[in-house]
Amino acid sequence: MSNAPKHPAKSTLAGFTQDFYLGLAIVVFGALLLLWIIPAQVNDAGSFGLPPSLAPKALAWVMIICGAVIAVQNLRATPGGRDLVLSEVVFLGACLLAVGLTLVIMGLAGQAFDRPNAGFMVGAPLGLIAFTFLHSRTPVWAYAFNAIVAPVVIIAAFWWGLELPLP
Amino acid sequence: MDVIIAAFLDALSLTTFLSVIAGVLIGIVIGAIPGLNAPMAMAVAIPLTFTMAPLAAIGMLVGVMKGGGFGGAIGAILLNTPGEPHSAATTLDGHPMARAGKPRRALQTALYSSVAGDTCSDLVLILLAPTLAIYALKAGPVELSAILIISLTLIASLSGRSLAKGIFAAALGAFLATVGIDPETASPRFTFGYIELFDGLPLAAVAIGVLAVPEIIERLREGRTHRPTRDVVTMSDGADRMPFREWLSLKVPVLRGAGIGTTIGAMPGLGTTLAAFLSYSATKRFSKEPEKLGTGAPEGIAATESANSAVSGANLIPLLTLGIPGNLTAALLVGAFLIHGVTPGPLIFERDAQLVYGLFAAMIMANVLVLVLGSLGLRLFALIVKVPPYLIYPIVLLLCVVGIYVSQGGFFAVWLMLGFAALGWFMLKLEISVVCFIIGLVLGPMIELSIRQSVILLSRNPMAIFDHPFAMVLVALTPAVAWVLVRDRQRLSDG
Repeated sequence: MSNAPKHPAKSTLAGFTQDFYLGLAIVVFGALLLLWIIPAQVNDAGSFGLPPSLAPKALAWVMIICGAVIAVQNLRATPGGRDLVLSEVVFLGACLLAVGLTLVIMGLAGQAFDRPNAGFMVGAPLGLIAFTFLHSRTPVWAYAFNAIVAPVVIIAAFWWGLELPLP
Repeated sequence: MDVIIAAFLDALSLTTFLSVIAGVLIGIVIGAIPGLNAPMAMAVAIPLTFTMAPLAAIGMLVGVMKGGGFGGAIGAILLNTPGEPHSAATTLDGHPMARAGKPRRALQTALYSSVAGDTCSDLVLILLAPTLAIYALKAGPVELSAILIISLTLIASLSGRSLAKGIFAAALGAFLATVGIDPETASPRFTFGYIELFDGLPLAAVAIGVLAVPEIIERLREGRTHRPTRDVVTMSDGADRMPFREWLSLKVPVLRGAGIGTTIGAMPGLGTTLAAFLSYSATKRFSKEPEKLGTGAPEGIAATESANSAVSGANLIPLLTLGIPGNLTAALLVGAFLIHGVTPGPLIFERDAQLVYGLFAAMIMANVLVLVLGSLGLRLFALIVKVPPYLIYPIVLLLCVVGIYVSQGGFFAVWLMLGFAALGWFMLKLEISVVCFIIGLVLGPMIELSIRQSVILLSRNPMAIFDHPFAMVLVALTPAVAWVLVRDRQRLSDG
């Protein structure tokens, strides 16, 4: 019988595992909450019973303890989880950028035309083309379908059906 | 009695009826799409309910929950792609049966068993919840704090591979629940000067952000990086039906599954996956021909589908009696209750009795509708798995944006959703439980309030807990329960 771990040990930067750095990041985040964000954003003055900052501070301590435990647990062995891949993070950024630009275009077009659904009518087809492009391996007809048919159906459902205003 | 009759009449009104139909259809369609599941369908549907009356809104979400349960089985059986982990148990026999030329038979077995399991658990809920709520009313803030702490620990212990990550996720969710006006002093917390945050973080934006958007992004990335092999079974007009009389011969695995699902569902955190696999194992153990399970046996489908559907109704027992959501769908349902000004918990039977009994009626109605619409539209729903992903995911992503915009009436919440999408994606990749995060977010205000009240009641003297023996036992049990669960899971993963 071998005592070797079931999953192969993995290490990242400087020989430590990804979860070790995650634990450290959580500890730093908890410390930032305790030392900077909670004092800046919660006013305890004038409280009669327990201060409003009590729960946030207690939860920040819980996070610090959890982060420390995660870091210590992953100091040596790794449980064989998947590491983050740079290309995946870049793809996440591209997706968020596409959605963000769609929102900006919707907002600007809505202000510029000042008509119901104008922002949606301009922004949605462009956004859908971008989202479809992100999927790749897509035939041209699918771009046309997503850019024309889908926005029309959504306008019909929300504006005429549910009477809810779109951007 | 008058309240119950009035509630049933409310549930039978045209608006509620149409809302439940819409919910069931949304649930089946989104549940059938590979990669999407019932909680995501609920997150996407919550914004649609903002302008509805409370019963119609909650009835629609209950419809989504129940429809999504069956929808998940469609992808599992025809595509061998479970939308949720519990559907993996359905693929064991569902897909082999479909590949053997009996896809309709497999789907009908899943449909009938799912509805039967769901109905059994709903009946247990309807019979037990009002009685349990009377006992729950006797629990004070100290007891409630202890129940909340042990429930959250139980959920954190069972979600994901690391207890520390589970507790961190729940703490992060509870921390974000403190955003907004402090209920005691009315001073703003973590609003950063944004008036939109005074009411707290919008649950729909957070839920869609961490649940739906990261999954859509992953599916879009899959389309770019590799072409998934889609082992799709086509449903023909063949005579592979499951006659209802023949399905009745599966009553033993169905009832056993319903019992297992109801018992597990009533306990917070245990979840549908455990119920489905336990029911499958039990059916295999008691089967006269255990070797047939895994090769396309209807008993396997019946056992798993009745068990995982039975969890959803029973999950509302802790929700309605204590205000504690046992899983993700129940947590989203709490959010919907709160949006409509209703606080789940034992007092709901006194303050909003008509709504609760209306909800019970809507649940039974949703079961009937899943059966009817599922049977009538089986061929149509089976086609959903064939729709190319490049048509589905971009449109669902846009619907997430539009849903949040219309529910919150502006872009602020959509930007928040985008931020939470990034957080949800990293949580997904770093194996930090999103379930714990959402449940922490939903339970956060309740935990804070009950702990504050407890501290005042105990006069800031920890020894005063000895005056509350029930709470003391629960607090003492919490680390022991967590240790036993973590140890057992470690043994399972090692061995």
